[in-house]
Amino acid sequence: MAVTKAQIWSAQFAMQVAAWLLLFTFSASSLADQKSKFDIDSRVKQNPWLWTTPQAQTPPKVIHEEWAQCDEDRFILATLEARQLKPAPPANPQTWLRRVHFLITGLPPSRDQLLAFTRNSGQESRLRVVDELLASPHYGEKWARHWMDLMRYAESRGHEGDYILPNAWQYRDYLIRAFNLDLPYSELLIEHLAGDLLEKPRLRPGSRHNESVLATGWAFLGEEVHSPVDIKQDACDRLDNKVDVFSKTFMGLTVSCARCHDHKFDPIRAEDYYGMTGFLLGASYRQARFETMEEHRQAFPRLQTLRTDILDGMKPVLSRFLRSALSDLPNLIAPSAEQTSMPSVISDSNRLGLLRAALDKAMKPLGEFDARKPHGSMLKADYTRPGATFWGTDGEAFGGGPVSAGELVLDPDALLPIRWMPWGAARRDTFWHRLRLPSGNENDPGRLGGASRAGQILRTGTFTLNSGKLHYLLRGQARVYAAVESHILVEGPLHGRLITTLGTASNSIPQWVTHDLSPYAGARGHVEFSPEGRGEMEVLMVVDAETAPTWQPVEWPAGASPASGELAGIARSVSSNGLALLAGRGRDEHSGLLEAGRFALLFNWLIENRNLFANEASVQLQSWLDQATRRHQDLADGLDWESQTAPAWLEGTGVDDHLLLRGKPSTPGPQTPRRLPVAFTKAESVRDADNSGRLQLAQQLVDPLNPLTARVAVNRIWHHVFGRGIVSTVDNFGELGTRPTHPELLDHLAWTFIHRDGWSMKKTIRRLALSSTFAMSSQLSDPRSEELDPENALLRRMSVRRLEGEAIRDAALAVSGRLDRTIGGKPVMVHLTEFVIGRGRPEKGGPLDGEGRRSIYGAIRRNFLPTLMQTFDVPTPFTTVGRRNTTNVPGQSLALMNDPFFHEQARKWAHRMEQELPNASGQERVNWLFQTAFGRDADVAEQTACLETLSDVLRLRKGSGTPAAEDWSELAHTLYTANEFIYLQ
Amino acid sequence: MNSFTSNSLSGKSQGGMFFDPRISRRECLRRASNGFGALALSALWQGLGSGSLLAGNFTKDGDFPLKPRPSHQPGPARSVIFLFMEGAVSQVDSFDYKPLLEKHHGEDPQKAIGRLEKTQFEQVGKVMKSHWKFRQHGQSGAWISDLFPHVASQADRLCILKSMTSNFPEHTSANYFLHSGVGLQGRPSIGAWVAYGLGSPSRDLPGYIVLNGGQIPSGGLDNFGSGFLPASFQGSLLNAKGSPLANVAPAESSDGLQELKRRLAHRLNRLHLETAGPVDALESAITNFELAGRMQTAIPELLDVRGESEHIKQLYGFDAPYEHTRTYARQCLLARRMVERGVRFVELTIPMVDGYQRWDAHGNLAKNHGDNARAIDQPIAGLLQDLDQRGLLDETLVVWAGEFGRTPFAQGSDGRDHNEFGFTAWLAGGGVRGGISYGETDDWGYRAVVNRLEMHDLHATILHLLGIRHEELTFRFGGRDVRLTDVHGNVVRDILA
Repeated sequence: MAVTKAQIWSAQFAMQVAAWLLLFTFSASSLADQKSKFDIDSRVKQNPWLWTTPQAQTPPKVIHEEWAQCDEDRFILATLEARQLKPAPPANPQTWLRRVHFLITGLPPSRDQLLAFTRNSGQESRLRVVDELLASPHYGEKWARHWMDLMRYAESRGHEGDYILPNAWQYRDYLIRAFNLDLPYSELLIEHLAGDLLEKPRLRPGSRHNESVLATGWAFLGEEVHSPVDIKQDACDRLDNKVDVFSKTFMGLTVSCARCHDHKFDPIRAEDYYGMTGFLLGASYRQARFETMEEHRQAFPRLQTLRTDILDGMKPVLSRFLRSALSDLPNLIAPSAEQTSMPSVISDSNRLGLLRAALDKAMKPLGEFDARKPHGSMLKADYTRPGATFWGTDGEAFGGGPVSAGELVLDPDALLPIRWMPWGAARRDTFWHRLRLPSGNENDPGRLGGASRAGQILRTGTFTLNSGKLHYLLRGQARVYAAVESHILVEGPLHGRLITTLGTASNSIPQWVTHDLSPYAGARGHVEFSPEGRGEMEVLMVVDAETAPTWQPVEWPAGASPASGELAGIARSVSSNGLALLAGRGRDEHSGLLEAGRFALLFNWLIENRNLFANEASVQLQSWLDQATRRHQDLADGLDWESQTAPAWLEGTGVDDHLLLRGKPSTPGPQTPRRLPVAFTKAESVRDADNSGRLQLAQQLVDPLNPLTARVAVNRIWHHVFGRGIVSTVDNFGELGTRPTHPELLDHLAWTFIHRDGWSMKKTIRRLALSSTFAMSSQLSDPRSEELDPENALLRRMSVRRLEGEAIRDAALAVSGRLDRTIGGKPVMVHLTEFVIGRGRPEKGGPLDGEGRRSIYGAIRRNFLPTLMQTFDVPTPFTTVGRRNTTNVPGQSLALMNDPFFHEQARKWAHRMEQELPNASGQERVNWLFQTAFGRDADVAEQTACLETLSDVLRLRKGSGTPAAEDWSELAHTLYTANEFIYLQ
Repeated sequence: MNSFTSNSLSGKSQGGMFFDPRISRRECLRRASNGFGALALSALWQGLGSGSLLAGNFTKDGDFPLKPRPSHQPGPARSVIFLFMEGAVSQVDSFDYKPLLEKHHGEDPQKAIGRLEKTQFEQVGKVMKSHWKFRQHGQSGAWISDLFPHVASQADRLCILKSMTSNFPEHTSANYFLHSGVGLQGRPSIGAWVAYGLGSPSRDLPGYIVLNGGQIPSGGLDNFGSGFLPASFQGSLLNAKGSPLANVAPAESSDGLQELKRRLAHRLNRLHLETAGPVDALESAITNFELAGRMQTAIPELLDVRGESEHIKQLYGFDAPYEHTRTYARQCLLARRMVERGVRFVELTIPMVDGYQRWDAHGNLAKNHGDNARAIDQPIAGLLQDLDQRGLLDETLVVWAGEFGRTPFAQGSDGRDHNEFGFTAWLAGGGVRGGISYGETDDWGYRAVVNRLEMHDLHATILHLLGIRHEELTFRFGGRDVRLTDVHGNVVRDILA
C-alpha cells in the first residue's frame, strides 16, 4: 500500500513541478532572473533517493549468516563480504559492557555490575543488561542531552546582558521524561511543533500536568537581543535561527540557506524558506502554567454549568427584585417628604451620573447603525460581537469567547457579582484571580516580567501596524504588551513603550486609551492584554488609526447633574418600559436581547444599589448571591491554583510571510503560503487564517510517506551508537552533506522504525546495542582493510571514541562515589572562577562539584558556559549541532591534570576506597581502582607501575610505612588523567 | 569521531555505492607516508582542487592542530596584534580632522548636517567640535589630535583607514561583527580563523591569545570563540591579574609529585596503547599530554618580564603615574613577547578605566576619552617602536579598531552616540604602507563617502597580509563552506606596501 502511494507520489512530481514552473513564470519580474536559473526538477534528480519514501528492504544474503544477530548486521556484513572484508572479532565482554553503559546511560558500569557481568557474559545476559539500562532513568538523561544539542538548549539569552530564559530547564526535564517513557518519535515531533494545540495533550503520569505543551519551549531557547535598533532585522535573525534549528533537526535540511536566495545546491527555493517562517510567525511566546492549565481547562465547563445552575434558580428572584426596584425608583429619585434615602443617592455624583447614563441608555432604542463605530481595516480586533474577531487566550481567565451585550454574567468575585453586559466585550472573569505562582518560579526579565501574565492573556491576531497608533476601548486596568516583531526582551533604552499599563477606573464606562506605537508603523505584531490586580477588565476594540475613535457603546450624559424632578420624570417612563420588558410581552428573542442590552446599565445600577431598596426581594437576592459566592469558593477550593511555568508557544493567527528579497526586511517581495519545501511534493500548503498551521505541518512531517523524517531520526540514533551516521552529516542530508554509506540499511531502519517499532527509539537502540556490529572489537584490522576503508565507514570494526564532556565529568563523579543520581530539577549554577567573567555574570556561583549532579543539570548560561564542558567540546548553543566536534587538544590534558574538580573527586574516590577496602592489599586496591575507573582488572604491568609510583609518592612526601589516603588520592587522580578514562574502546 | 575528518579534501568527486570516496585527510597522510613523500604532502597542504581547505586537512587525530601550515601565498605578516578599542572611539576627536565642526559648533545638526540617521539613544544634541586640538605629525603630515600624543609621534608608521563602516549600531552585535564577520553569537573569531588557517609556529603556546586588560567586551568571551571550528583555535584568555590561564598551574604540592604522576600516566597510556592498537586519537592524546606539561612552564616564562631591560619597560610606560597605563603597558609588552614566540594572533582588551563605560562616551566625552587614551597611548607607541627596533614590525600587523565610531553631533550636551556609518581604524607594520591615510568621511566625519570600507574588507585585508586568500579559507559547516568574509570582502590593495 505504502509502496503504491509512494510511486504515485513520485509520478505526480513532474506535474507539480511543471505547474509550479508555470506559476513562477508569472511571478514578480524582480525575481525572474534569479528564478530562471533554478530548476527544481534537476535538483531533485541529483539525489532522487533522498526524495523518495523509504521502502521495506529485504535483508541481503550473507555468507556468514551465523555472525548476524539482526537484520542490521546482515546489511553491514553483506557490504563487507562484497569487498572481501571481514568484521572484527568481538570485543572482550568488559569492553562491551563499558561501551553499552556509556551508550545508553552515559555512566560507567559500577563494580558490582562489572563483576556480575564478568561471571556471565552470554547473549542472554547482554539482553538483560541492555533492558535494564534502557529502563534506567539515566537513559533519559543521556539521550535528552543529545536532543538538547539539536535545540541549542540554554537557560539564558546571551548577547550583552545574558538575561535569563525563565524556567527553560522545565523543557530539559520534559525531554528526560519523554525519552524515559520512550515517547514515540512521531509524537515527540508533534509535541515540539504543536504540543500546545493538541485536543488531548499528554499528561504527566500520576498528575494533571500538561506535558505536551512543554515541548514547544524549544522555539524560545535561542538568543534574544535587548534594545535592538532595527527591530525588524532582529526579528528576522531570530526567525532564521528557528527555521535553521527546525529544518536541520526534523528534516536534515539546511533551509535557512535559502533566506536570501534560492539554495545553492539543494532543491530549496527562497519561497520555501518563507513558506516555513509562516508557521513559526503565527504563534507567540508565553510562560505556560503547565501544571494547572489542563485542570483549569477541564474546570471551565464545570464553572459554566455551576453558573447556569445558579442563574436558573436565581432568575425569578432577580426578576422580582428588579420589578420592585424599578417601581420604587421614581419615588426614590423624587422623594416625598417622609422618604429620606435620597441624600445618599445624590451625595455620590458618580453614582448619580451612572444612573443618569443608565436611564439615558434605556430611553434610546437600540440597534440602529452607528456610523462612528470603527470598522474596516483600522479595526484590528472587535470583541463587541461574538465571532467578529480571532479569539486567542492563554488560560481560562477570559472565558470561552467575548461576552455579548445583554448577557447576564455571574461572577461573585467581581465588584458587581451579577451583571448584565451593557456592551459586548472580552471580559476578564475574576474567578481566576486566584492564579498564583510558586516562589522560585522565574519571571521574565525586563518589562515583560513583574506582573504575572501567565494564564491570563487575551491576544489579538497578528496584524501589520498602519499608523502605529493603537487605540484600545477598555474598561478596568490592563497590562498591555504590544508584541511588535515578536520582541520579548524589552529592556534598555529602546522599545520600553511596547509594554504599558492602561485603562479606566473600574466603575467607569469603557474609554478609548491610546498606545502610541508610531515608531513601529509598518511592523508586524499583535497585542496582549492581561489584567492588573484582581479587578474586572474588559477589552472591546483595538483600532489602528491616527486619531482615537469617538464611538462609545454608552454615552456619558452631557451637562451637570439634572434636577431630581427631571430625573424622576425620566425614571418614571423608563420604569414602565422596563417593567414591560421584564413582563416579557410581545417580543421576539432578538429584540429581547437588544432590549436587555438597553436596560443593562440600569439593571446593573439597581443591583449595585440594592441596599437602597430594602425589601424582601433584595434580601432574597442577597441570599442567592451569598450562596453563589459559597458555591464558587467550593469549586475553587477543589482546584490547584499554584503552577510553575515554562516557555511555550501561544497560538495566534495564520501568517503567510513575505519573501524578502536578498533576505532584507527593507525589500519585501510577494507573500508565500505556509508549506513544506516543494521538493516534498506531497506536502500541501496550509491556508488556515485562524491558526498557525503548525499541527498540519507536524502531521505532514510524521506522515509515513515523508521521505526524510524517519531517516533523519534513525540516522541520529545510528550516529550515537556507532560514532558515525550512515549519512555522516547528520544535520544535512542535502547536496553538501555526505551520501549514505549504506542507503538500503538506512531505509530498512527507517521503514522498521515507522512500521514495526511504532517510532520507538528504545527499540531501535536495543536492537543496535545487541547487534554483532556493536559487539565488534575496535582493534585495527589488517593493513589492507585499513587502506581500503581508512575512515572505517563500512564498520569493519568499532572505532575508539572519546567520551563526551558530560560523560567524562559524570564518570569522575560516579567513580568517586559523589554522584547524586536525582533526576531533574533546577540547574546548578556554574562554578565561578576568575575565567568565568563578563557582563551579566551570575551573582552567585555553584560549588566546584556542581552538587554532585550529572552534567546535564549544570546551568547553561550562554555567556558563562561551564569551562570544563567547553574544553571537551560541548557545543556552543547557537544552532543545531547533531554531530559534535571531537577535538584533541592540550587544554584537555591541562584540565584533567590541574582542574581542582578532578583533584577533589580523586580525594573522595580514595576515601571511598579506604572505606570499602579497609584491610586490602595494595594489589587489591589498585585492582579495585581499575575496576571502578576502567571497568576491568589491572594487569601485572599496570599493578607494578601503580605500586611503584605509589611508593615514590610516599618517599617524595617523606612519609613512612604504608601509603595514606592522600597518597592513594594522587594515584586515583592519575587514573583520571589516563587515556583509558576518557576513551572508549 | 572527529567531525572534521569528513571535511575532506574538497572536490565534488563522487561515486561508489556505499561510501563517499572523497579522499580523506587521513588516507592522504597514509599515502604520503607510504611513499608519495613530502611532495605529495606539500601538495596536500596547498589545498587540493577547488580551494576548499587551506587548513581543514590537518585532521589526522595525531597531528598537533596548531602545526604551522603554509599560507596560500607568501604574506609579509606572520602575526597579528589586534588592539581592540571596545566601546567605540570618536573618530572626530582622534584621527579624522573636520574643521567644519568648529565652525558649526553648537548648531542644530539637522540644519547644519541635514538628514540624520537613527541613533541608539535618540538624544540628538548640537553639532560638537572636538575636545582636542588637531595637529599635523611626521613627514606624512597626518592630522592627529592631542588625544594621542604618543601615537601621533608614530604617525609615519600608521596607515589610517578613515572610511570604516559597520552594519550594527549596538555594541554586542557590532563586536561579534568586528570579530567574526557576523553580528551573531557563536561564529569563529578572526583569531580562530587565522590559527585554523595557518597554525602556529609555537609548540608550547596557543595560536590565538587574548590578553585581558580588564574589560571583557559586550557579547562576552564568545567574541574570542572558535564557533564551529575546533576548540583548539579559540582564543585563550590570559588574565591580567591572578592566574593567567585556567589550569595552567600545576595543582600538585610539588613539581616532583606532578612529574611522578605524569610519568605513571604516560606508562599506563603506553600499556593501554598496546592493547588498543596504534589508534590516532590515543597517540594524539599522549602528545597533548606532553605538550600540556610544557605549557605549564611556557606560560609562566612568557609572563615573566623581569628579564626585560628597564628602558624598554619605560618605553611602554611601566613607570607611568596612571595605573591603567601601567596595566596596558604590560599587555603591550606581553603581546610583543608572544609574537616573538610565534603566537599567531594576539588580541588586547582595554583596561577597566571607567567601570563598564569603555570608550562608550554617551556623556562626559572629555573625561571618558581622556582617561582611556591616557591608558593606551604611550604603551601603543612603545609597542610600535619596540617591534620596529627588533625588526618585528615588518612581520607583525598591528590593528587598532573599535566596533564603530561616534556621532559628530552631541548626545545630550557632552557625549556622542554610536555611529556605524563612518569611523577610523588604523594598521601598522605587517606589509602595509605607513604614513598614509585611506578613505574619507564627509565634511562632518559622519558618513564614509570616499573608498568606503566594510568590516569584511578589513578582514580580507588582514588575511591577505598573512598570505591567506580570504575566499579560500573555508570550513564546511551546516551544509556550507563558510568563510570569515561570507560572500563579501575586498582586499584594500592601495594600502599594501
